[in-house]
Amino acid sequence: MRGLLSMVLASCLAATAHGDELDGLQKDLRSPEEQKAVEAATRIGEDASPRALDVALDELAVGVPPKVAAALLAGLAGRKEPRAVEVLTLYARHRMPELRKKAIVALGEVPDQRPTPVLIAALSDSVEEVRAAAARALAKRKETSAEDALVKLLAHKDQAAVDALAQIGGPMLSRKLGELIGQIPDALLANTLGGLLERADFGPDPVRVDVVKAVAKLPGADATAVLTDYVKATEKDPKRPSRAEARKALEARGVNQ
Amino acid sequence: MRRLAPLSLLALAVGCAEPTFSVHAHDNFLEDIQRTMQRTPSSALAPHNGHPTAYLVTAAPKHLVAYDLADGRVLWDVEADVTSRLAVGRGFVAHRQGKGDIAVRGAGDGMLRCSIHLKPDEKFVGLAADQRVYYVVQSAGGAQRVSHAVGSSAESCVEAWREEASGSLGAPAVRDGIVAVPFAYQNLVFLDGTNGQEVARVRNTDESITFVRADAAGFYYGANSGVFLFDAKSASGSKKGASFVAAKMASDQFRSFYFYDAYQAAQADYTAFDRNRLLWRAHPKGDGVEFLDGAAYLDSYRFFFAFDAATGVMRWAYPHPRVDVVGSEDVGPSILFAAADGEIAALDTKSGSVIWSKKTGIKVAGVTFDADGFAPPGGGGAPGPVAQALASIVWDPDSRFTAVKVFAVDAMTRVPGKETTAELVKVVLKKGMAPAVTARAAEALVARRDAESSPLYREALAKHFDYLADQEVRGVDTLARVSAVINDQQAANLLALHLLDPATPLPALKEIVKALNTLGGPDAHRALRDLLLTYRCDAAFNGDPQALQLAVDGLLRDGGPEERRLLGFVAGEKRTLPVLTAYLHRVLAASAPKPVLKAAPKAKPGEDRPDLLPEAGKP
Repeated sequence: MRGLLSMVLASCLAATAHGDELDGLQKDLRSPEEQKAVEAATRIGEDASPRALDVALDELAVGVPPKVAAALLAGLAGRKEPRAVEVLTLYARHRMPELRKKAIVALGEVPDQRPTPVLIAALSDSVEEVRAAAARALAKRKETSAEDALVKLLAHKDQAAVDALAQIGGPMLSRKLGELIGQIPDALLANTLGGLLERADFGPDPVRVDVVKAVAKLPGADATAVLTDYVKATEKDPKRPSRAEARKALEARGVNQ
Repeated sequence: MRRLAPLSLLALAVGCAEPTFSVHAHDNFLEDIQRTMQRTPSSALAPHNGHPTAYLVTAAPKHLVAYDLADGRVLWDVEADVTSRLAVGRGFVAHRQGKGDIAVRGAGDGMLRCSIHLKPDEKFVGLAADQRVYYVVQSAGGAQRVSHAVGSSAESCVEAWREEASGSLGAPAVRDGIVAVPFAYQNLVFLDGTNGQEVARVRNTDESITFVRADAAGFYYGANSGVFLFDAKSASGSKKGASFVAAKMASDQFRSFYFYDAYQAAQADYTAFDRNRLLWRAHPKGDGVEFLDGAAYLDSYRFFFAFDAATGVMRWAYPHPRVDVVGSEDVGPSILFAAADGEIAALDTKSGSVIWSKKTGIKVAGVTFDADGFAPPGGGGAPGPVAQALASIVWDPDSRFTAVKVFAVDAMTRVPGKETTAELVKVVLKKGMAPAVTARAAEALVARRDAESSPLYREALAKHFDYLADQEVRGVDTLARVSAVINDQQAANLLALHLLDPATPLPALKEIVKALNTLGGPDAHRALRDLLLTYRCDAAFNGDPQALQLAVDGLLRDGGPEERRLLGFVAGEKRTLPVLTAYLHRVLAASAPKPVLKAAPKAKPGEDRPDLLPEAGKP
């Protein structure tokens, strides 16, 4: 960070007007008029050039007003830029939750492993939106190492954990979730397990059987809906043991199929 | 002493004194005081009626119960609408009954002997008893307050005498037939109990007199500032000249309430004042007075503290479990108390241990002990670990007693050792602790400078807010201060992480920055730089920019040219908060390298200005 800062400071201190559009935007970005600065930050974010990235990272590194930072971070979100990890990591711990959330979203798209610990740490954030952004980012990255943390998040009744676990949950997940029966709302558990069953890559079928059995233990309409949907989704494969297990559970509930 | 006219002296000489409570009566008259003292010699500590007894008042239904402490049994139990504290006389007890009567009951059976009917306009102030019943009332009517002190027979309740005073009289005390009555907040008037005649008067010139109390050793009087012994030195009328003693409290959390305010009619009954007061015994020592064993005891609802009255050092503490104590008394060898659930117990004054306890099962609303000298076997041991007792008080789940807990924390600060430090750290980190308790523990922790406990502080600092682990973090600012005062360099990295942790409360940042400035090092510098750059434009710091300003100080003091360059950039950047910009300009100017004068080559004609060159080796 110190080396980066030196470079950035040198860049800032040496900045002179060159007359091209980016220089103009950079000048506007440093304007005390907030609206003008935010508009410039938004346009810099839309600029896919490496120079625009440099400008955005430099500005974030030396500090900008929060609204300008939000626009710059939003611009970084689509760039999947490994060079941004250091700055984004700093903003992932900003005092303003909105900036943390935007930094997490951008970090989630960076295709290397450096953001992973930051994203998992963000599941422990005090603000639900930040935790949800981290859960979505981890799910998108298929980050299986986050499974335990996401199970804890589900145990805290965070809705964001449902989709994330459904996307990355492994064979042992149904057993872990089984331990949460009675501790968290049945609907959350049912939908998480249902999400696993919807995944084509989840299996093999004996694992699906375990999941169906776990759903069958849950009372309520959500669990019934998951079982019903699974029976419908597997119509083309009527001999699947997991499907048979689901039908058996539905019969036990008195549901006509 | 007021100057007396020769005629008055003559009148005195022939026994023709002023009327009782006369504003013209002489006061601080040594011979009067000595005569009165001769009539009230010291005696041994003993109950008035032979057996040590607790008189228990119940709330609903209202009963008066006499409980024999020596035999551990109820002596008698009568229905009685008791509306004042009990006065125990020789062979009888007296109390206000309902609103307008004073009831006199036999001490042996509780049966009503007779009743004194107060006049409709009389307000009851207080009563005392020995062979007779003495009471004070105020008359509500008229422009000027009029009070009366009255002596009545304890057999028939017939009024023996009645003395009127213009102004306020306070609740009386009596021993050996001499009745002491506080008068007009400045005087203590001694009356002959047989006829009500004034026999002596003490007038304090520099302290008010709001109570008088009598026990086997003598009369004591005073106010919340301390206790005077009634002796020959009382004639001085001043705190300096009299026999005076005050207890040093271990904390400013408690007002020193030495005895019930004699002028407050409300305090004549059993009230919260019975549950929150100082307990003490005193005795003459040399030509002065001292507290018995040099100790004073604080009773605060469920908690008892014994402390050295001269130094305030805690000797022992006793938290009574769960149930409130409704009343207590220092009876000499032990502290007796009664709890609301009917438990009566004795604490050894030396050790604070419970040496005697009986569960009566009676729902008690008030208690009066006639048990001077009561000493159950088992006393005299060494006090238990004070730190442990104090900690149990601090951790008591009852949230009503913030003052007691602050008091306990104060007392803990005087107990050395890592165990006490650990307890204080726990208090600082505990969720739900009363802010006053936390604040006092924090100050105590900083003041201890206990460097041996640095691993404990670091262990606490290593924890951060963690939603998944249900972990909240408190006291980082305090731990930062502690780390700084003990110069724990190993804490710098941990503090740096807290500085940039969004869960760290904004007000805590400045203490962390201060600590990092003290500790220094690369971790500290890096964190200070990140804080300054990240938040230099953040309006959230407008209200309290001190953390950023302190970060500037740290970077400027310990940083090199690069930090100075960074600060110059922040100062010159338009978006930096104005309050920070102004500060930066000021400190940068104040710390700018001073130019030095270098001898210039001999000036040519017209070039007589010296060259200004920067100091060697400085930018």
